[in-house]
Amino acid sequence: MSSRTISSKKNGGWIAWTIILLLLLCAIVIASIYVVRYSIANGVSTAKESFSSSFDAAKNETYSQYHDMAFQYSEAEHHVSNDVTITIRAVKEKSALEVLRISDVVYIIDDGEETKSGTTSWLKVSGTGVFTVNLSAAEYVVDNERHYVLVRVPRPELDSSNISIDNFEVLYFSENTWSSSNSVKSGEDLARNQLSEAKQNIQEDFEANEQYSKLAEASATSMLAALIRGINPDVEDLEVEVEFY
Amino acid sequence: MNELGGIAVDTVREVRSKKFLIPLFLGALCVASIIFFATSVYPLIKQAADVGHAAGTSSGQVAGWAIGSVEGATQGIPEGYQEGMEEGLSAKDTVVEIANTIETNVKGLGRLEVLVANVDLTTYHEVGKKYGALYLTRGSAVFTIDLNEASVAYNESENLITIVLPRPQVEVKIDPTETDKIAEWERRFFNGTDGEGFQAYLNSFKTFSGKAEDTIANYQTLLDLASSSAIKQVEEIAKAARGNTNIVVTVSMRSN
Repeated sequence: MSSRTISSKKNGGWIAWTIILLLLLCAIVIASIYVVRYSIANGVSTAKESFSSSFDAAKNETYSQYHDMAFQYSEAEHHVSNDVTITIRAVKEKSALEVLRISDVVYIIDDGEETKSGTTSWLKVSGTGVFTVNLSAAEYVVDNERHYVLVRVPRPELDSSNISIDNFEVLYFSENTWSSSNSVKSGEDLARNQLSEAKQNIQEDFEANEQYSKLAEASATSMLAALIRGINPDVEDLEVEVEFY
Repeated sequence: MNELGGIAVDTVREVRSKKFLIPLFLGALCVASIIFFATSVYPLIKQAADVGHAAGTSSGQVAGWAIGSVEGATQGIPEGYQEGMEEGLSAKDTVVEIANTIETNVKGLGRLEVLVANVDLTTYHEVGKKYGALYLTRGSAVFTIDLNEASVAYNESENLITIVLPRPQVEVKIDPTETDKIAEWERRFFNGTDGEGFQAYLNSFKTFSGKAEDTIANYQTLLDLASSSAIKQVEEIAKAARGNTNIVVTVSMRSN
């Protein structure tokens, strides 16, 4: 083999290696560019998410801070306190059997005539009344031989003190906040008057319904009979009669 | 000539030996690039799916929001408004209740009122620093026992009837017609609104009647009076309504 041939082979190997390595380098560069593109997109996305989450967190936190600050201020400004002292005026024993419990609902409408500020208020109020029979004024006639008891009691009555307001609901309320007469005092007076009117209306409704008295008598009759039979467990076939006076 | 010829041969040999430095350099560069790609660039490929997902989601949301907004504004709002109007006017939200209910206790015995205490509730009521009032409210605390829970036992051999009563319970009834305002003060400026006063009064009425009931229910002196009154009232009824005086009737209060 001549020296020229050996030199030519050495040159060919050098060129081939150079081309291969250049191609490999190009491939690495292309792959890197491809990956970097995705990396940038990923970074942008992550940045978006981070922005979104941090934006929401910061917004909520700031909102809460303002909300809490306003809540504290408003609570103090509107804080209602009641310091109640109970005085027991009179205590008396009684023996009144509750024989009928009735309830009623009234609607108190004020179309701005009650207050100077022209506030409109519709209040729905429910109340309860209890008919009682005064057993301390009862008379008993007992016939042991005939197994018979006659009870004479006052008619059931609905005392004013046995009428109470159970619940209320504001159906509609409208006020002119720019009125110079608009104030806490004015609103409290309106509520007090409406509750008082409701109690009076409920009482009038109860008293106007004669059926309640009849039902109370019927209920009292059966309850008194059950009561007297209950305390005479040793007497069989006990006949109980109830009279009202 | 020989000298010159010798120099040329040396130069050619030197150039030939330096040509091999290029592939060596390229090889080193490739190795470095592969290492760099493997350690720094390639890990980013794994995040490509996430990146694509995020990009697709965000772009999809934007596109969907845009198209949805257009369709919603042009079609959804009129349709929804119409359907909402029909739903709203359907009067489904109708509640029917009996206003004047009646509770008769024809089978049972009902409650026996055994003690009543007339009470005055003096309330210092304040709404922020805007308004304050001193109210005097009258009411009554009524103690009752539930006769349905009473037990009656007859001992024939001992000629003894034993009645055991339940503990009395209290109900405080506040009369709104019997509420007087004794005194009041009001801030000169910024003294609130009717709405604030209205709500403050109603909520106070509801709250303090319940709390007054709790307080009185825990007042042992009144409870003791109510218990002794209950025993006394039932004893009197039992004595009066019983013909057979040979049988002894004892009335007591349940311990709890």
